[in-house]
Order: sequence, then C-alpha cells, then structure tokens
Amino acid sequence: MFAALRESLLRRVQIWAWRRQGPDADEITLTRRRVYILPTRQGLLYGFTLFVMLLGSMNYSNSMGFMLTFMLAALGLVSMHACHANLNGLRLAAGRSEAVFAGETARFHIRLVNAGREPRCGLMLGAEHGDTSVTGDLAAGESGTVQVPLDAPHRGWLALGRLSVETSYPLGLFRAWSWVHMDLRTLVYPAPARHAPPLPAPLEGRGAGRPDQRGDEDFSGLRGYRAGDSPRHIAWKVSAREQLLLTKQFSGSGEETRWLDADLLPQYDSEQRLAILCRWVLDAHAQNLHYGLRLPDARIAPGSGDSHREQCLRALATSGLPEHTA
Amino acid sequence: MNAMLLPNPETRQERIRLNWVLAAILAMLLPHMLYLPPWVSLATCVIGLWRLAAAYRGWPLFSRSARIVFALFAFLGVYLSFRTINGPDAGTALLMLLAALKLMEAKGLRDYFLLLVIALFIGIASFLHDQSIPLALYMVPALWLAVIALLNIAHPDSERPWRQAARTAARLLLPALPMAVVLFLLFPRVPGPLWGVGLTRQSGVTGLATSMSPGSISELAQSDAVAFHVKFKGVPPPASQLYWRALVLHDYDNHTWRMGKSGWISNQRLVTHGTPVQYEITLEPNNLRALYALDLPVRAPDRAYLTSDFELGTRFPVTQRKLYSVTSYTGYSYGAGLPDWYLKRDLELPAGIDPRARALAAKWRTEARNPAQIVQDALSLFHDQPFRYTLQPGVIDGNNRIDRFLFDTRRGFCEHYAGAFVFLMRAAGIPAHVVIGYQGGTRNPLDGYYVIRQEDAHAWAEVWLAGRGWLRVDPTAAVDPARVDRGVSAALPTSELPGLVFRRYAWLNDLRNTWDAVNNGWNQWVLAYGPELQARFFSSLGLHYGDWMELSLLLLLLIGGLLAAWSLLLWWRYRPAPASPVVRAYARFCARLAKLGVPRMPHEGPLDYAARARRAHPGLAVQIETITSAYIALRYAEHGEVRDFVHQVAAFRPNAPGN
Repeated sequence: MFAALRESLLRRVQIWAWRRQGPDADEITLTRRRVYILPTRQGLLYGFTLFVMLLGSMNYSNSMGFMLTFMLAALGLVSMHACHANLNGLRLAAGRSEAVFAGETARFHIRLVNAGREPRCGLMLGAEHGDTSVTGDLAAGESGTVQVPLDAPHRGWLALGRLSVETSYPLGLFRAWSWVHMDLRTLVYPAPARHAPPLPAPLEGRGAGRPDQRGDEDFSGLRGYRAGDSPRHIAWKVSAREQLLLTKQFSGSGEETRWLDADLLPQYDSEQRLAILCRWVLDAHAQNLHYGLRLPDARIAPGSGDSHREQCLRALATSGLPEHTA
Repeated sequence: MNAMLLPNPETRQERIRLNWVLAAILAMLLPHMLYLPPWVSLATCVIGLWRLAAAYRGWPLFSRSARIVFALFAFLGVYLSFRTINGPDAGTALLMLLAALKLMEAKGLRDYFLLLVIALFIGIASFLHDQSIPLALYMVPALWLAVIALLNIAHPDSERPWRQAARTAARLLLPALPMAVVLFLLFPRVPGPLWGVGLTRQSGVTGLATSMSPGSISELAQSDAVAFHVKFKGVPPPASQLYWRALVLHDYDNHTWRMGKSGWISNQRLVTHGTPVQYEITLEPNNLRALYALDLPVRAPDRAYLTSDFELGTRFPVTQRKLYSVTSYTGYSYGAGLPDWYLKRDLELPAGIDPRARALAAKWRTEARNPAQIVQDALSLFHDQPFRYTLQPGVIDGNNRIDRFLFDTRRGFCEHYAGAFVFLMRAAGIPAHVVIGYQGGTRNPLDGYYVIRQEDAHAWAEVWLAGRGWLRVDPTAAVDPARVDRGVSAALPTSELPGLVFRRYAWLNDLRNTWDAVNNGWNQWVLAYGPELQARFFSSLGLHYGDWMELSLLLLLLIGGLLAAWSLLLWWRYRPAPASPVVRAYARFCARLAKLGVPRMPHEGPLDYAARARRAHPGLAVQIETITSAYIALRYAEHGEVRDFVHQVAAFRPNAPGN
C-alpha cells in the first residue's frame, strides 16, 4: 500500500515537473529551476538519529552532546547544498544511439559536460523504465559520454522517455535529481527468427542460377562485424590480430535477385513473418546476395550492401506501425 | 596478472565500507575503554577484527542462531556487569555490543550506514561520562574520521585517494562549524531532565555524605578534587567568614550524625544585617539533593528550595555540574522565636552513654549565669586543654566515644570537635546541631574564581540561644584558629598535608592554577551553557529572552544567512572554468568548418566530427586529421605543444585562395 502511494505521488510529481519544464532540446544545462532535492532513506534515518541525540543532550543537559548534535545537523544542511551544487549546472547533450534488435538492450548516448571548476562525482543516469543506471564522475572542466541502457523488448521506435540524472554525493543523505525530457528514440529491428525456413530461391530469368551458393569465393574485402553476420564469414585470423571482429565481404555472388516476400510465409502470423524476414535479410546480407523485400505496406527494390540492409531492417521495424509511434 | 584473483567491484566496495566503518567505530569507542568493563570493548574489537578477516579471506558470516546467542550473552553480560541495562554506562556497553552484533552480518549500504549511526551514538555517549577539554579535542579528529567514513560508505570508490575524501569531509565540516556554534548559542534550551537520568556512577564521586561519622571528613581532606567554584560579585567576604553550608545534621546514634526527619516550620524569623553577598557557584556533581551556599542563603536559586534549616534542597541529586546564583548575608540570625516542640529534637541524646561528658555539662549548667556562658565554657575547654587538630586521630571504638575523645585521646579533626561540642551543648540543655559543608577556599589569581576543594570540607555547630536564635560556633577554631583564618593546610602539621607537592614547587602551583582557570572557563562558559546562561547571553545582546518566537526567528535568520553564504561559496567554486587556449583554438577550427557547411553537432566527439568533415571535404582531410589528433593529444593525454596547435589552427584557412 505504501509503495502504491509512493508510486502515485511520484506520478503526480512527474506530471507536475513535465508541465513546468516541458520538452527539452538536445542540449540542456541543469539549472536551479529543475534540480530537485529530497533526503534519502539514509538521510531520514540520520535526521531521526539527530532528534534522539538532541533529546538525550537535553535530558542530560550535556553541552558537548548539544555541540556534537548541532555539528552533525549543520553537516547535514551543508551536505544538502553540496549535493545540489554537484548536479546544478551540469550540461547534457543528446548523442546518437544505434539501432538494436528486439530483446537486446538499447544504449542511448548522452554526453555530459562539466564546465565548472569542481569535479562532479557520483552522477547517475537512468531511463525511467530502465532497470539499471550508469554512474560516473567528471573531473573539473571535463566531459564524457555515458550510455544509458534501456531494454528493447519490441520492434519499432523505442523512446528513451523520461531520463533521470541524479546524485547523492557527497554523504548520501540527500538525493538531488533532475528529469530530462529529450526526444531521444532509437529504432528496434525485429528479433531475427531462430529457426527460419531456407532463403527463397532466386528469381528465374535474371542471370544463370548458380547451384552452389556456398561458393562465394570472390573475396572483396573486410568490414566490421555487425549483429547478424554469419559466423562462417567472420575472418577469424585477421580478427584475432586486429582485436576486432571483421567479416569477409564477397562480391559477384549476388547476380540473382531473391525476393524476400511476406507472402511466401502465409502460415505464420505477422510478427513471426517479420522475424523470419529479418533472419532472411541478415542471412542474405551475410552471403552478399542481391535481394529485395516485399511487405504488405512496403516494397524495397532489390539491392545489396550495408545501407540496403539497413533500409530493409528499418522497413521491417516499422512495418504496420503508424509513423513515429513509440 | 590474473583477473580472476582480483576481487570484483562489489566486493571491493564492501571492503572500503567495512574498513571505514571499523575505523569510525574504533575512534568513537576509544574514550570508553578507560572506564567500561574491558570485556565489552574487547568483544567489539574481536568481532571487528574477525569481520575484517572474514571479508579478506572470504569466510562465511555468522548464522542467525549464532547472532541470537551472541545477543543473549551480551545482554546477560551487561546485566551482570552493571546490575541494570538502563542508564548511560550500561546503555553505552549495549550500543557497543549492538555494533558488534550488526558487524556480524553487515552487508551493503544500509547496514554500514546503520553501523556508522551507532558509532556516532557511541561517540556522543562518551560525553555523558566526560566533557573535559581533552575529550572535546579528541572528538574533532574522531568526527572528521566519521565523516570520511560516511563519504566512503555512501560512495565507495577504490580509485579515490583517502586524502581526497579527507579533504572533501573537511570542506563540509568547516562550513558546518559556524552553523553549529549559532545553533549551540541560540537553540532554545529547556531545563532538563526530560526523563529520569539513570545513575550508575555514584561511587566515583568524592564529596560530602548525608551523615557525619568520625573519619568521614578527614578522609575528604586528603583529596584535592574541586568541590565547587565561586565567583563573587563585588567584594568577597574575609576568609574567616567563608562558611559554605551544605547540610544540617540533627540525629546522633553514638557514632554517626544524621539529618533525621526534616522538621518544617514556616517562619524561622530571619534577621539579616550588613550588606548582601552576591555570588555564583559552579558546583561539581555531588550526588546529593543539596546545593552549597555561603552561610546564610536568603533565597533559593531556580529549581531549588530553602529548607527550614536554610539548606538548599533539590528534587534530584546533582549529577551534572551545576551553575547557580545565590545571595547570602554573612551577618544574620534566624530562629529567634522558635517553639519548644521544634527545638526538642536538637536536645535529644542517646541514653546511657558518655557519663563524663554529661557530668561536665551538668556542672557548667549549674555554674553558668546564662547559656552563652556555657558555650564559652565549652570553647575554653577546647582552647585550654591540650587538644590537637590532626588528620590522624586514631580510632575510638566501643561506647562512650565522646568521653574518650574529650578526656583521653584529645586528638581529632573537625568532625570530632563539632560532634563533641553539640553533644556537650545538648547535655547542658542548649539546643544545638551539626552543620557540614566547606570552609575557606583559594582564589585563583588568573580568573578571580575561588576554588573550594574537597580538602576544605568542614563541620561546625549551631547553638540556639533564647532571644538570639541560631548562632554559628566553630569549635575547631577554638582548637586551632589558623584552620579558619588560613585554611586547612596552615592548621595541619606539614607531614599530614595533602597536595604537598604543590606547596613545595611554586611553578607547579602556577601550572595547576592555569589549568584550573582554563578548565573553569570551559566549565563556566561552555559546559554550563544552559537556560540561565542563554538568558544572560540574550540580555547582553539586548534581546528579550523568553520570547520563543523571536528566538526562533533569529535562529532561522542566522542559519539561513549562513546557508546562503555557503550556497554562494559553492556557486563560486562551480563557476565555469575559462576555456584553455587549446579549447578556444579548437572552437575556431570548428567555426571554420561550420562555414563550410559542417557544423559540429552537440553530441559529436572530435573524432566523429573529424570523420564527418573529412567525408564532406576530402580535400581538407590531412589538415583536419592533423588538427584533430593534436587536439585530442593535448586535451586528453596532455601531450604536445600548445603553441604548435594554435599555429596549425591559424593556418587552417579553408576559405582562403589556394585551398
């Protein structure tokens, strides 16, 4: 019951904060107006402790007891202001965020800038619906980028939502925080199906069919590994040397066009269909095939390469969704 | 380097918390080690060391049942040691054992924070026992340590050097100090206690008891512990008038004089003459329900009352140093018209003892013209016969102790003389009783305070004469006038003197005076700061005390002002740093690129930006590359020549002809 009460109160406060702050630009400075502060659980216990100490000092008319109690009380007040100052004036800038597959964790890049002459310690950033936060310190005049994690369970556009920036530095008695409402979103591709039917056969009539699809010998170069690349195409030896996963690229094997068509999969429901299509796109890309994508609401002309792959995945991610839904 | 052997970050954080909380507990526990039963501190320390070993060796923590057993033994042990689980001492012991108990299972922020709070409680409890200057000085670094510990518990960071944490803690404590002083001075003080104060330290106090028996005062005369300090307003009375009245003893049982049941009479008919003596006493705890005052106090201070015998009574025993103001008259008489029924108990004597003394008294009674003559006869006896004033009178056993003192040994301290004199008076039909208290005192030339030590404890008598009331008679003065004029040390033989070393070496005495003056100032101004001193402080500021609204307003105003000043200081510290030449030069570089249609995005790092700019203007790739890498080296690796970099940027003129 207490948790529910707390939850509803928090909701109201967040709505209030949203109304008074409004949406934020991509780069903002946390000002006094938007940095809130409240005691933590430890702070409340500390306050109760001081109250008991005060009663004890009164009871025993103990001057040194009074002095220690007042010293600790003043320390609490001083630390409250220090905690507020630790956050006040911090600058945040929205960074890019890479698309992920559903089921993975999206990472929103936020650049933190400390223009002040004091270090800012124990900064914590977290998405409202995220399970974990990232922490970090910034030396005086320093800036750095943090990656705020947020689980991406479904395909489509994933919005970061309300970002909270908080700190309980230095003594953990108070927690200063600010809510940032930047319009940050990232694309979530469908999770590639684990078990998918084989790739559809190439269209007849466009170039001679090549029976041996594994014979993609025309090695054309290396590129960085991307999620979904077939392990068969990873250049393991080079990767070990470069400390970086590299995928072999082949050319010339995509003479035939394959249509990755949703209509080829009538027995699946629409999401499963997208998952299988996603797997096909990845596989086709990995094999450097020439492929096109047909969806009920989109058609991507055949092609190949990174940007083609991205275009296909993007179409899969947003298929059937209204524009800019989150 | 095997990564597996390194503790994971969480364990490292736990260790930082544990180390610091143990340091804080130890610092707060040390002052208690002097007086608490050794097993308590020992148990806490052993558990602490075990916990430390457990953390580093990966031992399992105590099970729940083991902790319950420990808790039971702790309670039992405290009860057996103190015969109570109440009061400051037993409470402190329990707190320490509670810390040990919590240490057995401590894990995570909440547990360690709780332990730190317990450490703070242990720290404040040490002041219940001792508020001296050395302990107060000790608590300064101890508190500092506790704040460092709090910082490390809230934000454990193995990368942070302890010096930096110490600096942060100091920078929080220093601004807190003026606020604490303001709170100390202005926070409304209420007269304590709010609830019963558990008393467990009665045995430790040297001082007067509520009775007097042979040896009870001479024992005190061996102690140079301070009984109280006095500050006179105006001219102090002469030494021979410094009789500090504590208790009046009425009942005698052949060995001990006791207060007996207090009689009450509404009108003692006090007549004063001469000028009043106003003074202030700082009384050390005496565990008596009585305050001391110069003979004779006319009005009781706050929270004390004047008894029919002109003692100052209190409701609770004085267990804390107490400051009070009294007005006395050294010229007085009281009880002139007392009725016989009231005087009756000051005539009572145990039956069938001391026949020789009774016979002597009877002889005086028949020979004397008036009671005053009898008093004079008794004093002459002490003066003319070879009585000796000594701390070592020897022990008188059995019945007829007064007979044997008066006629055989004739060696005694003030309690012997006062007791024998009152006995003689009562036997002669003159109402009389014993008064105990202190006589004399030494003026400390440094601060003008009179110091009355336990060695100044004294006993004298009061006799009642019809028409004149109660009169003070000091039979000891008849034996040895020096006792009253120049103090106990002048009256006693040198070999019997207490504190001999201070009389032999003047510099030691000076040192003692200085230390006493410092201590007394501390007691008078810091420790005694309560409702009375607060009221005085307020009136000295021209404020009306008692108006709590006004007081609270002033307090809020001052604290608010100090906090505002602190905010301002923080604002000043966090003000933006001026951009370095490197940053400014890089900004110029970015501005030039922006003119070419490649503005730097807010989120873009220098590398990403350079990559984008190169793609947009392949012709400038080399220059962009050079400047960016030089910038990164200067900015993040602090490597390179600033001047070269600035020149490189200056030379970067993409709009100029030729590019």
